[in-house]
Amino acid sequence: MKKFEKHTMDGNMAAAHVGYAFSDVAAIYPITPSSGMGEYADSWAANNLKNIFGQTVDVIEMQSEAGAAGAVHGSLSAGAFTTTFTASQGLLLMLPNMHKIAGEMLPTVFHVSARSLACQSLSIFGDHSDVMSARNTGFALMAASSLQEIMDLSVVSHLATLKSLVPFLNFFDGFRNSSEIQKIEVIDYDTLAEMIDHKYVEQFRSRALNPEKPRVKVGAQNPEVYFQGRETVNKYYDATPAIFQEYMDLLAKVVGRQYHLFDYVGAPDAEKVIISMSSSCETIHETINYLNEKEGKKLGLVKVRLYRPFSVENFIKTLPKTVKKIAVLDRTKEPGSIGEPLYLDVVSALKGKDIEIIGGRYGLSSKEFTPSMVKAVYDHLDGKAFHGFTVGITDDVTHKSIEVKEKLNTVPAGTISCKFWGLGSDGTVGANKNSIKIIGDNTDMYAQGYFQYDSKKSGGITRSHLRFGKNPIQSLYLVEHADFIACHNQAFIGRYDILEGIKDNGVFLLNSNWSNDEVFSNLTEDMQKTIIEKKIKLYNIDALKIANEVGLGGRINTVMQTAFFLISGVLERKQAIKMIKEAIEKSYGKKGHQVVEMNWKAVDHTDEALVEIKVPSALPKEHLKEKKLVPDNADEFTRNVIEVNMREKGDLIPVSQMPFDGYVPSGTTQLEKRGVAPVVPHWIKENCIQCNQCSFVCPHAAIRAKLIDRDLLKDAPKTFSSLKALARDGEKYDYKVQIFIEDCQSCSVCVNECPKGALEMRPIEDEREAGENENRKFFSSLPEDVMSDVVKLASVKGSQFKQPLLEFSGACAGCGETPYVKLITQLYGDRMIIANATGCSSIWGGTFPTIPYTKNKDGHGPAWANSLFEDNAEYGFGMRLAVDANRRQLLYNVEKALNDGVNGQLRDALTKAKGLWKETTAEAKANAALIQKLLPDALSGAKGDTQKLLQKIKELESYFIDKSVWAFGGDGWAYDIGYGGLDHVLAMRRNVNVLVMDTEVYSNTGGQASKSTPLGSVAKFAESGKKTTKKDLGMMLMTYGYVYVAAVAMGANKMQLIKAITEAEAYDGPSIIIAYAPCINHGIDMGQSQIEEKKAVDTGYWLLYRYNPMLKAEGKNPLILDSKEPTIDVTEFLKGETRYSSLKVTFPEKVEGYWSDFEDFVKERYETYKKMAEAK
Amino acid sequence: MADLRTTYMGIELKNPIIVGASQITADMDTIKKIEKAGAGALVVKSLFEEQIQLERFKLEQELTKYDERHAEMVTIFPRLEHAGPAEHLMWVKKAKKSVSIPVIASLNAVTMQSWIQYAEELQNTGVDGLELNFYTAPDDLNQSGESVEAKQLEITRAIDKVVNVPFSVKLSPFYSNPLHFIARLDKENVAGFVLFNQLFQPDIDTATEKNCYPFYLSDAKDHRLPLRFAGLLYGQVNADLCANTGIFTGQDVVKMLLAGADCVQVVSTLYKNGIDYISTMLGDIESWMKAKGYKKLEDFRGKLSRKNSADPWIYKRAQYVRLLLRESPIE
Repeated sequence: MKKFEKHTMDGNMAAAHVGYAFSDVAAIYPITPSSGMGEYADSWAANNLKNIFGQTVDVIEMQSEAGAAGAVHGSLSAGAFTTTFTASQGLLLMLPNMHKIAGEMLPTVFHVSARSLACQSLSIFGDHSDVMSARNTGFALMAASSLQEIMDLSVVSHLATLKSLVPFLNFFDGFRNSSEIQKIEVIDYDTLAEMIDHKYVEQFRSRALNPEKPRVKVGAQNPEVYFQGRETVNKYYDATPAIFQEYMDLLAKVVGRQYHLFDYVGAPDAEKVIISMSSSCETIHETINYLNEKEGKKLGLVKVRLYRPFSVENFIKTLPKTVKKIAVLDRTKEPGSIGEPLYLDVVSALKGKDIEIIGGRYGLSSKEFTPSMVKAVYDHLDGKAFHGFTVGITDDVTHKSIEVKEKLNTVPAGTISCKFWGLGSDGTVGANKNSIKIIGDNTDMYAQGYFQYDSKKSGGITRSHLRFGKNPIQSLYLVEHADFIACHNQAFIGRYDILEGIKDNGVFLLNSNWSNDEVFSNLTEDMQKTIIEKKIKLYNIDALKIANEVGLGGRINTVMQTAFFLISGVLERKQAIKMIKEAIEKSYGKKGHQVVEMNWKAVDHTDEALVEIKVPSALPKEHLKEKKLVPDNADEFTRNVIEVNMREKGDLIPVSQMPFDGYVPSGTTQLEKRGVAPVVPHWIKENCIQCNQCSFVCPHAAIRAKLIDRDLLKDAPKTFSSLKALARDGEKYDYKVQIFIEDCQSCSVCVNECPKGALEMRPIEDEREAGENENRKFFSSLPEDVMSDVVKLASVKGSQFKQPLLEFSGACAGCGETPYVKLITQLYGDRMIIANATGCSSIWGGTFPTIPYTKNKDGHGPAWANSLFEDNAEYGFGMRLAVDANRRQLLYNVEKALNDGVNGQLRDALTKAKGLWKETTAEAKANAALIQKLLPDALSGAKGDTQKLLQKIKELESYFIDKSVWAFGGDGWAYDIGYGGLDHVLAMRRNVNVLVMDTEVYSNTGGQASKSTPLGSVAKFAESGKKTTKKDLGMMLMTYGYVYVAAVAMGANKMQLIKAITEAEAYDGPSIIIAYAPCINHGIDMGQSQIEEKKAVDTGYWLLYRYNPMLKAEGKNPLILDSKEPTIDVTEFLKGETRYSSLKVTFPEKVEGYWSDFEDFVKERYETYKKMAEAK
Repeated sequence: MADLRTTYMGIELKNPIIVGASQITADMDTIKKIEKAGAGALVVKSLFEEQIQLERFKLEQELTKYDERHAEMVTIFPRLEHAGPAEHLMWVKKAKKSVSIPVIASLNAVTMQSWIQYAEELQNTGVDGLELNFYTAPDDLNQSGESVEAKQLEITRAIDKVVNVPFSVKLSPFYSNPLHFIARLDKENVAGFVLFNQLFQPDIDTATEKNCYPFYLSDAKDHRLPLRFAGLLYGQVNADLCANTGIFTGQDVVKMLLAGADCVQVVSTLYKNGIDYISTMLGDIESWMKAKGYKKLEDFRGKLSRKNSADPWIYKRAQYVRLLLRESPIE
């Protein structure tokens, strides 16, 4: 038998490797966690990798998954082997075409990293709710349990589809399989080419649409024949299981791994059996090996490989005759069903047999599924054995969850389990991936890695789970029993349960700047106890110091990686040093000997510095107190949910604590006080000219300005300093700029924006000591929204005296999106409804449990929701329809009440409200508040129909003031997936405001090109620069003539932005603001994001304009071009951003053409707009 | 009108002034100005492997600095590879096409593989010749001079095998005996010697007590070093001699020619006086020749070399003694 090479890779790569081999075309659309498959394929295509037919695959990124499926269908129909990669909502968008593809018996394989569907909330993590939605499409469904199975069974699917003509959906668990790294055997393309039967290739090509042998596919059938037509395919489905088995057998001959449609493992005479699919099978398998061997149990498992078509005959054959009780596990939920899909199939298959069958749910949204939970399921079969159970959560409402009593450790002896705590982007995850590769590629050991990330995009934590051993690793769950734990950041101590799960005699490595003598006393009491009781070997290393000494600056990854290699016990110390040094040479050799030397030095210095710390035999007096994360007087939700989550213990939250409909309180990020900024701005008031620009541009609302009635300052802390406000703002006021140091993300945008040097970055410790936290508390207690006597709200300065109703989001430091939204909330937040497209803004805006949208002193603030990615314009539009409907109803009731003789003060107020119906002024708001105040008394004094009428008015009392309806989203939504809906909604001429935060790339899914991506910009699916120019969305929408359209860039012209927002909001019709939003995907220093916006406009890269249909009514040209003729060459802008400049060193031959075309494009575009703006 | 033609590396030049590898020869506009000002040839800015290594390192840093921060943004850029010297090669090709005077490419690599690869690739851009920039700044107490020379000889031989265009060697004066090393190189088909390159010398800022790296031009007195070695080498080696460093005026060029150089490379004087100053220098050479009655360079080239000098001690250490004995202080 041929020997195959072993490589470490993730599941996406395993699937893409096979998908690429068998395909001519791949039409895809990025969606987590499947994006990696498309990206691998695109990268291979860019490097001219040939498939088994000797061709480079044509990898095409479409505008949506619906588009991708359409392209797949067309390509298959016209005779090209075609694949796609998707997940979740993406798969749902493909369903219509999947019915067509299967209906037409077109062979294909869709590779799906199965992911939760958006229900009460989106989740990017893994379960089977998406693939189960495809059950009735006619696709065969194949489940892989491990990375090796993804590789192996994908091959089987690609071969089987050709012979059976039944299309296949190959699925594996999102994240758990797709993003896990394991060392597996790779089946090379020569072998795959030998396995394919060319008879079926010819057959497929011969069925292609071809005018030389024209075939016409039927468009419509009527009742007399449609039914019979559907029944024609039965024999193909009947034959598919045997075909699938045939190719499994062929695979076994080639690679030596034998699979079956259903594989049974465990005791041959088992009485209790679990039936499951995908990654859970590995964990169950490991657990029953342990329980059968160590505890003498007789347990079994049926792994379902081919779920559709379901072969009852083979399924029954697979089960041991002894089985009496079966628990079927489904990783999905079908509310209202008798049971979940696999359960129903099993019941149906075993109809009439004397076997007790129950079904249960586990692992939704990548919820951990551990050996202890497996045991709990077997125990449940012996106990109450009720159907419809859940495992892995605590359901204290409907009590469907089963108890998980113990914490089993079923990991085979000899496997070393390691866990690392790191900070996002600190190099920890990268170093761990590298360690897996080094050990995997250079030893005979198997290696596994799985990585957890924070939902915050700045200052978040990462956790890496690594295992190494002599045998293949089946433990597809997080490290629960760790031989080695490393904490790469000392700030985590006291905040998280770092040592949870460490084994007796385990190793704990800490990176801190504490001396070896003071380390132990800087740990929490719990940690100290664990270390003493479990006899933990404690190591401390000052990685930053070593990195600095050897010239690596802040990059601590080599130091920490070396430390891990030296003390984890995975390798012998000498071998470890040799291996890591060789790996460094391999990684950095092409980057210069100096870089290699620096890293080698880091290895040597680490080797010298790393010594075991003597642990006292008894608890010392000194220890670190657990850090307080929420205030003592916090409400129940904050204590029971938010704090638990903040401590990374969210798995413990019971069902009763969770909102049933996705509701979550707003204004909760202010509780976090994350304190992640090493340096924060310091206000130098002597230099301050009170312009408020710092506050205006702050992406995090962490620097704010207030006018303060001087009388209130008597209670101020001594450290609280302020300035006399400028005379025009009011003689009685002082002026203060306050930095919220614990909420700051250290981006420096404010410092760079300040025109007078009134801000400088200083260490956060210094500012804490200087009393800034006390100052902030006092500042927050002072009245909000104290407005200047002269300066208007709709101005740069005036707007910043209003409380931002978006604060402290989890966006990246220096984010270009959040300042726009923050400003809009300052202007209209108290009456805003926001529909938010899925993307970065829905993640920083609405990730459970802490919400950055907040409320003002009246408890008013943005009402925010996210439906999907593709439907956001329609979603926002629906909100407008509802508001209009409710206001119509309210007006009707008000008029009726006035006619019915409601009198007194309420009558006057209602009459006034009618007159101010379209107004949103302070007067109108005060009148609405008055009505709300008067209504309760009026209601209690009224009788009969009047009372009923007043009750109806009360029901809709919040609609006296119109709502400001907004649809927020990024360019992926507006230019691509949501464009059809956006276009339609704007064409509807209703009052909906749209804000497009244009980062010119799919930021949230990791930088894929959109139609907004400009010419020559490097992005995923545009490795050598995008070949086409950016779509001019604004110009397209101006053609309606009645849509308000503006393009803005805050850093270039703040007043133009304010004008655009206020005009758009004031326009009683559709409006769209396209806002230039610098992003980490641009490859810039995010502290310069506002300056970058200015540069974009000065060079003509970005145009500022406003197209206001209201001007047309006044007989004026509706288009105002706010951009001046570019004064600087656009290439000056391109040079400054990695997304453009990197081409100079990666594809230098492309640069000149792109850049010169870009110059022409900029000139042409400016001239076009100029002509339009000057037209009479 | 005097005939200023000369031959360097077997290439005929209309005059002996070559603009050396520098920022001035790194820009298409200035390259065109150089030709317009009348230079005999130019050496385009060096291809440094260390620079490519640094770029490669920086590219990776730039592309990955925001990685691994969120489950959906594990990476944010595609997996891009640095294209090595491709950008430089493209540029050299363009520079060669843009002027009609001879264009020489300069290279400095780290590994043997890169020396060979770069030399071949630069040759393929269509340049008239190559200049191997043997830039070494000794920093290792354990490295022998012989090993440095052996390595450089090995590089020279390897390059000689793969390129067809003539190539010169630009070297430093800091060998135990540069003449001996030059003589060894002369046997390896080296077509020219550039005397000499500048050693990278950091300074110290006493106010901040930190090292600093000032941009400095050569000094007018620096020309004496190449002058001496040109004088010593004239008539002793097969390769052509190109004097470099401290050549600021037409008179300086004349001095080099008198000592025995075939041509000179200038940079600092162009920074100081502008690119058009080349024509002034050429004018000054012509005026001098006219005044002296020379019609072509060969009439006086090497006249004051050791070989042709009436005073056999002129290039020897005894000259130093003679200077010390002079009554007047040395300048």
